Amino acid sequence: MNCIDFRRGVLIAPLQLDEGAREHSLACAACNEFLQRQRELDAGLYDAMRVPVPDGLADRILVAQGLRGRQRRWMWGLAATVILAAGLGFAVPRLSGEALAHEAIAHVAEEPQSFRVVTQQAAHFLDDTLAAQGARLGVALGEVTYAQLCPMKDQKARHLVVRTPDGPVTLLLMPDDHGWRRRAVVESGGMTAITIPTARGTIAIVASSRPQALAIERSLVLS
Amino acid sequence: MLSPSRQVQFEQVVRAYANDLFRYLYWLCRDRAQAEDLVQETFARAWSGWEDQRDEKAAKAWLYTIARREHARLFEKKRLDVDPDADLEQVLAHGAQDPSVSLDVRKCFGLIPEAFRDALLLQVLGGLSSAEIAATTNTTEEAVNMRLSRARKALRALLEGTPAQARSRETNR
Repeated sequence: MNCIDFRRGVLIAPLQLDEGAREHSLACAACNEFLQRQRELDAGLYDAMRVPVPDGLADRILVAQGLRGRQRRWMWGLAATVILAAGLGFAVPRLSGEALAHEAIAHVAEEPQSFRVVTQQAAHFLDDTLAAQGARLGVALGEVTYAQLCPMKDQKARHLVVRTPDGPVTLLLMPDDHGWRRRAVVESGGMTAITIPTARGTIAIVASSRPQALAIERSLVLS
Repeated sequence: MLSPSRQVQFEQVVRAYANDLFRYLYWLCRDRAQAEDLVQETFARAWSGWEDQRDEKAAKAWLYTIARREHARLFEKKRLDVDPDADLEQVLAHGAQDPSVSLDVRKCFGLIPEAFRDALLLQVLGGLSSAEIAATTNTTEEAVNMRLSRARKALRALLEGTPAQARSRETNR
């Protein structure tokens, strides 16, 4: 792949690089910078598009379709159906915190440059980003050295790398993760991932060891 | 009558996509009340067709297609007066002529012609592929890719205050 084809591809879909494009971005510093700049712009664009949503919108839609009332009357029947559906493999595949944790580890493994690239962030960037999900830091973690918007299956994740005294840690912040997840801890490929449901969406912590991941989890205060 | 499991699936789909559909419709009509009415109407139509919608993976693109159609229906007369492929160069020239005007991303995004904005919204906000956007907007994948590429060039030019031609040269380096 040459620089022209690479940049054309980046302008079409900066978050979806094929193998050839990935190799080119690692080999060509100028194109890598072009990619990072475009991804930063896309992250800003994504934030700009996310205008505030009216409170209780989904509930009002469900009420309008008469689903809320039915749900209460058939509560036990529906609960039984969900259990049955899960058993038969029909449940929506977003229920598993473990699956997301595996996905988080795979994502970090696919983006080794996230530990090499250093992009300066505003002083309160991490606090503000966590606050958007109803979380805050009980203790300071360290400097954010990488911040990108990344695709995670059918949603977007804010991919952050934080330089802590114990080494770099990845946080994947997914404010739009609407799955009914439970906390999950997964160890794979020399990494540990913890997924934590928050007031809005899910946070995944990916660290090089279980103690490090647990320490980061303890530093998060959820509202 | 739909089975309870299909109703549960519909509720999950509403909870998963209502917010971003609202945002998408807001950017199409720039009116919060109108956007909420449209998202309600979108899900009302989706609910009536839910029995036939068996492909869970295609549900998102299907919802965006309905939302877009609902918006077009409401703004049919208005849309006849709009050129969806208005010349981007004019927009860029206007943005670049006054460097003292601080244009943030949201303002710049609002300056981009509708067809280009729509493609970016469907990709960045909706997470649709070029093929899905092409099906949703009733055009070709090549046309979608061209719009995405030009929209990003235009945004970069507007945000960085440089003429589109300069950005284009950089891209083609």
